[in-house]
Amino acid sequence: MIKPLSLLNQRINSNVMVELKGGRGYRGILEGFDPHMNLVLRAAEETQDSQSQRKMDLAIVRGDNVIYISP
Amino acid sequence: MAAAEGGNVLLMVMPLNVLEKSINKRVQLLLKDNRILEGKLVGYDDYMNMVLEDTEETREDNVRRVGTVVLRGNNVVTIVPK
Repeated sequence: MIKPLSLLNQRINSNVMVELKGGRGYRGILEGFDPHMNLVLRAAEETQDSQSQRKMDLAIVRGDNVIYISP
Repeated sequence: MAAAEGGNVLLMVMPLNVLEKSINKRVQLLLKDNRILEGKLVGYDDYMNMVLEDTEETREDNVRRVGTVVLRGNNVVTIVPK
């Protein structure tokens, strides 16, 4: 069995795409996470309905907004 | 947890540790209703509740000074240290 958080653990320091509720998305390097699926993203780019919004050096994403995370 | 599942624990940056490092610095918060709050982070807890000082609220291009606020963590989407 592959547990969700152990798969996430294997993606540390690689690029991930994060889909959030409300049509928002983030793409960035996954620096860390916790059991709530709160994420730390480095060099993150925010998109809203597939349109690029802004770029951030570092962002914390709160886990309860996450729909899915994809490598 | 992380140590038992792959040993990347030394490389892992925990989200609340980033908040700890942002104490007394300005942070920008995006909230679930698309409000943006920017202020100096003076405290937080495990629920991601936060105390902000000299806070500015931006909502559909309207900026409002709201001073010191206690923010309930469940409203947060992202936290960007400035």
